[in-house]
Amino acid sequence: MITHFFNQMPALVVVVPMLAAPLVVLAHRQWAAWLIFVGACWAIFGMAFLLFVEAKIAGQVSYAVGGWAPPFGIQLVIDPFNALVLLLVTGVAALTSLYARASIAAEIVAERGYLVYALLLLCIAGLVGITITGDAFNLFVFLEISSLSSYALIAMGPKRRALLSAFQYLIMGTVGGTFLLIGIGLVFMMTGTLNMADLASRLPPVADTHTVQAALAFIVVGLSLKAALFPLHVWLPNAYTYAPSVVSAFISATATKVAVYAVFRFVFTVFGVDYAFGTLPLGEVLLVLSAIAMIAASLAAIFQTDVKRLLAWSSIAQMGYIVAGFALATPDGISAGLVHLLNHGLIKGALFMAVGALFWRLRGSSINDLAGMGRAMPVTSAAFVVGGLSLIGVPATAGFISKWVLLSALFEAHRYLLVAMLLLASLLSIIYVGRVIEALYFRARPDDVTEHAHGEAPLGMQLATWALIAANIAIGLHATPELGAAQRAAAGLMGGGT
Amino acid sequence: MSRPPVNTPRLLSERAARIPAAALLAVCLMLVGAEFAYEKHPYFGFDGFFGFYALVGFATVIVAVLLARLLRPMIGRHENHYGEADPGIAELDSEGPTDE
Amino acid sequence: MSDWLGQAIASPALALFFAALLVAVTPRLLHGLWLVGVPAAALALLFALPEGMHGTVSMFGHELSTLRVDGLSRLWGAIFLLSAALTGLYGLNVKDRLQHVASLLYAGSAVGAVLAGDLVTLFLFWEGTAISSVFLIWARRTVRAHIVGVRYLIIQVISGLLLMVGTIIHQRATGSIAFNTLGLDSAGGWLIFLSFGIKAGFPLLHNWIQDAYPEATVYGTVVLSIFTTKLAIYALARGFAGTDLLIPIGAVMTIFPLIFALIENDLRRVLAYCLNNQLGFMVVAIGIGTPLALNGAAAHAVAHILYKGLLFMTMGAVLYRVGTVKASQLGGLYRSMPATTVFCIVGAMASSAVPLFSAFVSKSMIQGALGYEHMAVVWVVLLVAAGLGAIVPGIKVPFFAFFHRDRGYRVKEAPFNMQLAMGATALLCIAVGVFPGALYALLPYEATYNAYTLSHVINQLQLLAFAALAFVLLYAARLFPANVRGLNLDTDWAYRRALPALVERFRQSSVSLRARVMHVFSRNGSRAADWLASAFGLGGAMARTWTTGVMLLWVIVLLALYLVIYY
Repeated sequence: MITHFFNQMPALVVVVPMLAAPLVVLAHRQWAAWLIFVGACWAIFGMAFLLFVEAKIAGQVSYAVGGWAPPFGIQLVIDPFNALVLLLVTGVAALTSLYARASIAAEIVAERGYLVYALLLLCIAGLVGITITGDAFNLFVFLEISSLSSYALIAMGPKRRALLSAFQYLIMGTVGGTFLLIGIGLVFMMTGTLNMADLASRLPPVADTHTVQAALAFIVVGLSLKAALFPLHVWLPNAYTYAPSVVSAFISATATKVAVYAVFRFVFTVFGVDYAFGTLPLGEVLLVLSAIAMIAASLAAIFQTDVKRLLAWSSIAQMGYIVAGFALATPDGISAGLVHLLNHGLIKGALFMAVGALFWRLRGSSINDLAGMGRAMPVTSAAFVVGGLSLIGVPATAGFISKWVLLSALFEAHRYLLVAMLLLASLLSIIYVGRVIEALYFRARPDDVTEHAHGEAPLGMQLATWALIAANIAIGLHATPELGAAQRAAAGLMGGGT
Repeated sequence: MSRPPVNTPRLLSERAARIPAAALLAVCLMLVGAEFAYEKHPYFGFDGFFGFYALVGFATVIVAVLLARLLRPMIGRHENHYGEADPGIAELDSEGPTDE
Repeated sequence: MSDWLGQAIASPALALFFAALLVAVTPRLLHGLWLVGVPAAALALLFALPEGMHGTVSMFGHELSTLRVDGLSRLWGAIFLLSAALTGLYGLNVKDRLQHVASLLYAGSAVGAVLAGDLVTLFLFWEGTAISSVFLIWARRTVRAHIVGVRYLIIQVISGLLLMVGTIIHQRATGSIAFNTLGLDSAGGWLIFLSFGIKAGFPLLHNWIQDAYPEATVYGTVVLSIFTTKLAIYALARGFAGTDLLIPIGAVMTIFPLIFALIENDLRRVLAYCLNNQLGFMVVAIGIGTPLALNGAAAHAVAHILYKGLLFMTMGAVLYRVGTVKASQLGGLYRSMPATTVFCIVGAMASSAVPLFSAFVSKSMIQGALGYEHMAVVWVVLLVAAGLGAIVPGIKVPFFAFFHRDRGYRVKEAPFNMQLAMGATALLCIAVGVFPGALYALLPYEATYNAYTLSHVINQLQLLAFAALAFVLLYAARLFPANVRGLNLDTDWAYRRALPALVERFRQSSVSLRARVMHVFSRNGSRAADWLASAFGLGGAMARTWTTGVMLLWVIVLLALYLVIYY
């Protein structure tokens, strides 16, 4: 029985949230819906952890859906690379579930609360599916599941602008999805297979054709859109700003990260390092774009007046860090990119949660609204400060570990210009984080605030926020396990093949 | 706590201030006299000349102060030159008392 | 039994961090215990630690030694902890918890950095000092303090980033992260040198000191004056002892800040310039690199921390009671604040190296080391700086604050705890001068030196007395620069005025360029624009749809880019 369960785990990680979603709709009641949501999230987090350990021991866990052997059936694969991403997605989902109740109760009409849970579950299922699938078309399907649910989630934001942002996101996301589909179609046309491992072995003979080159371009552009890589980032600030807090927190920590994962899953595993970075100059393009992203988006962040939007712009800059690491295509670079992918998920999740808690109290997230909240909500504000320090990359936080390994990798690759850009970007991050901290602690509360604007956020929100902050500190103080896992993943990717 | 400062005569023009000034002069004279009374240990030679240290101390201050007087018109600016003063403190145009 | 003394947990730095936590969570009544008691206990702990490398921890693939105890680090740690206790006493009346927490974290980071046995640990604490100390500036809670704080933080972090990058390069080149003599043979060495140089206030890199320190709180400025710059001196002594380049750098540092100090109106800024000049003495000594010179640098750091701290404390007391430390507004305070006046004069005499005061026994070691090495030019430069130092801060600060003219302030004497702290520090300034043996015994290197030779005492008195005489004559002739309100330009002009202006010019020209391009487009492409407008609807909605259009445009551009370079 137990072994049977273990064998089915790769499928269950996707199936549990997917089945929980209709269950939530049936339950309808806020309480019941939330309980199911929490149960499903923690269940898949537990399974993800077991899978992570299994992948670490066995090197790779493979699962044939429905018993159809690959390459004909759909295959689920967990290797050291996506096991980490899976852990991030499910971990953030589990903490989001704790956070969600109070936040949703405050921001969304009670009758529609269950819909948020259901959509979040679908989104989680989609993201988990993208992460672990070994099938290219299947990846597209999961991408659409997660995308469609996130359009709906963003549209549920409390302001009317939420609708427009969701609409923009929908257009862009659909274009991205279509590009991805075109790319997958092109490779399918050339090779007759959709299984990633199979594709990897069948592509080299036809690699020189324009069709395959075009396929790579379409896939990279399509997924870059989802990952908000500069200059395809324009949808992101609005989407994060107007979405409900819990949605911003979850999506910012996971969705773009998973999309980046998908880009590099295709580039490294399907097309191969030598092809994408050797024959074709993909690395150079990505490095240039990510360098621009670091600086331009950080500058944009400085001029924002809304904290959520500020964090969103900072996310775009940080995606530049991540992609720069991967695009070096060296073992150090890939592991640095992966480390920052995880760490940035933890940082941004924590920061958006903290802002969400402030929003819960203030009904606003402009920097001016935050004036003097350091005294009114000391615990939440402290969380924001620690998260902000991690974002800057202050020692003893996860952000510092990222910065360190990224710089090391850039040095090893002799990319001194990028080193300078990264250092400049981290100076800029001091300014935008400093602006928020200044408002929190060094400005007086406006005189006209009523009594209700005092007191901390509910326990669940604080617990989730601080859990992510604790993860930041823990990684900052003891990064060896994370670095080890990232290095294993990088070695696996460079070795080629799933 | 603070109230607008008032201008009063400089201390040195008061009679009482002449005593320390005179005492300083006396000390200086004594120290010049001491030049004859101790064994010198010059490091280089030129520092063994008569009254070397006294001369350096005196000349340094005169030259440096004159230099500083030259420098001030070049680099001196209004207190709110960079426009960073806090509102309220920025109204400095009503100058306080001057020294001269 | 004493096994734990070798572990990282036994770090005095951790004790201060713990004290910061206690200050944050316990009622104010107990703060005195944490602010004064814990640094004192940490001082005892420091002397209980056996010499050697301890506290090994493993962090992201590097073996870090967090506790290196030897003569140099022990002396620096001791003076940092002692001054942490004294400033804790000085700040006891401050109700703002934030300042106490920040100052303890700051002191702890500084002690941790001094005890660091490797560059990574050094960097970690180096950043710690930067980030904790900025709160002492922001805590003034004014708009200007916030701007200054950001500027200060950025410069501090640039120093940290240089250290980090330098460490990575150094580690890749040598395979070692040990923090010993580094030298200027490699790119890594140069970057680290520059990083230390920023914090040590090298000429042209110095201006953050004078920009930031006078804008901090009463308490904050005292704390700031102690740690960052002296930590940099320690790091230079550890990594770059005997680097010839330091001698000219230090020599320049001893002179030029004093010229600025002569015409500066804000007395805390005067002190900040003088602090910079005293760092020059230490930098020169490190550049000489002989045991006597390095001992001189160490001894002078100790003396300097005490008397400069004392001077900043007295000016803090004046600011606290009067509300300003502008020389143009001050005068005659000796009637209201007699004790503070006495402490300030003691600090000024110690700073001027009057025999029987602390700087006399330390500065003369540096001067002596130069003499023994026959460096005549630098020797004269330092002598000139010493003579000028008798005027700024020696006479200027106490005279214009407490005498000069009676401005009519009738304020209370400084709070009792401030007086106690100033008294204790003043006593130490005198004790070091009268009993130099105790300080000499703590110095890290083997070198005997006696400051109290007859010729030396007389020569020093001649130097100072005639400098004072020159001041009196200039003052009587009304030639001494008058105290007028205003500020003086320094290198900060480059990033406060020139850089923003340049950016603004660039922005304007790009705006006008864009306008011109748009003009051309709108003439030729007006039909296309009309079409777009009609296609995307109402004018109000234009902006929104326009964004989506731009997004899609970018998608196409990027795809085309990929396809073009692939084909």
